[in-house]
Amino acid sequence: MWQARKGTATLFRADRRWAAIPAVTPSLTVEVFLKITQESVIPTPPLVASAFLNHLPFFASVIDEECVAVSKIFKEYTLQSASFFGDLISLLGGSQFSVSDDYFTPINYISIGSSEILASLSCFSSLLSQSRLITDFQEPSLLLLLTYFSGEIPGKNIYSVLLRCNPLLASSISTAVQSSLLFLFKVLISRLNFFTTSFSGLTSCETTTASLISKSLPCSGLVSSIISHELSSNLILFILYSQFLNFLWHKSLIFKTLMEVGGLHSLIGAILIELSSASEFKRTSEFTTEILTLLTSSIPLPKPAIPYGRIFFTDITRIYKYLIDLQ
Amino acid sequence: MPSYYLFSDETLVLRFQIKDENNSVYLPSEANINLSYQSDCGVGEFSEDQENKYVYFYFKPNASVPEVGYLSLHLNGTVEIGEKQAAFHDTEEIYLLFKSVSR
Repeated sequence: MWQARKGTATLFRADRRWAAIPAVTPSLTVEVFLKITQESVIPTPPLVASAFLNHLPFFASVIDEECVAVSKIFKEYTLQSASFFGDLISLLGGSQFSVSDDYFTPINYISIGSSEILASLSCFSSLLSQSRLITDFQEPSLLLLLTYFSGEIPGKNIYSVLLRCNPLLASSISTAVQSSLLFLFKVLISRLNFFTTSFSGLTSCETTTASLISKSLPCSGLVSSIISHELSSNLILFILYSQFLNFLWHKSLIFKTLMEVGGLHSLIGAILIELSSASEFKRTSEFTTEILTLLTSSIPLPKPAIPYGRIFFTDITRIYKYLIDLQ
Repeated sequence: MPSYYLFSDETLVLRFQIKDENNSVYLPSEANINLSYQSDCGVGEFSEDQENKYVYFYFKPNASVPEVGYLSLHLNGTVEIGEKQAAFHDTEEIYLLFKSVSR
């Protein structure tokens, strides 16, 4: 009885301590060997959006607003990718995997100037139907890359799918870049089409010739044919696309460079480091270790967990029945 | 401040945990935490229960003990975050009230 009162008092004391301690920013708990060199630059979402828009004179006068818009596009891409992976999850038959609900949080508005305009559901359903036509999108790691750009963090199940798709990670850089760019462009073009027809008063121009497209597209046959078909009805989109394509392919500032210097692994590592302090991953250190080992070809350095706030004695209890005695 | 009655030939066994504000439990051997104690009436020893993440403290009073003694447990931890070091410290003071051995 006496002991019970004491135990209770101890707990109350611990509670009071707990409430009195100010919150601090959680710290990182994982250190990874990343192949980051001085030459490697990990682009942030605003940096990518800004670089993209700087290259497009169409957007030059409204950089800030359109940065937001393009950020939304990337988010939309992520959304489509998540949907794609939802299908993939089903195909794999892994009932234990499902795309988390928060990952599907709809990004259903875009910023144009100072006003936010609600995009119609039909617009997004159209995007969805188009993206499903892409059959050669086989690079799951690009999901992470674009997810990084978009500022969205995928759930654990996305990484789980990535693990199960391990053989696909061995695909060549060019294939990965090409197929992923295709997927991105499909969404991007559709979104740009949405911009121009809905907000800028621009109408479709059907003057683009197939030969012009074929000269300008450095992609392979399948990619070219799909994108050509998409662009053939809109000259403005074609110009935008060509500029974007040149920007990406010939200057190689984003995807290609990132992959060639191993930046993709760095990005994934960075994402996982961020995730390591998130609540979802609190008890999945084995999973994090596994994915880091797979993606970085190195074993994360074991580091002791860093306490959150301060550490203290708690739950002090006297034990009367014990087996070990002092010598 | 907790206090415990015990006989001078009795071993006091305390079980406790070390936690942070997130309710995460730490073991000294896994988190670079040093445990120490001070007492005017006996000697003690720490032991870890790795499986359940408890720490046990076994305290053996001296042959000759005062009527009232004290025991203080200390934890000290230093964690490096980049180039910075964060230090942690906590103390638990405990009174020991000794009974006569003649039971």
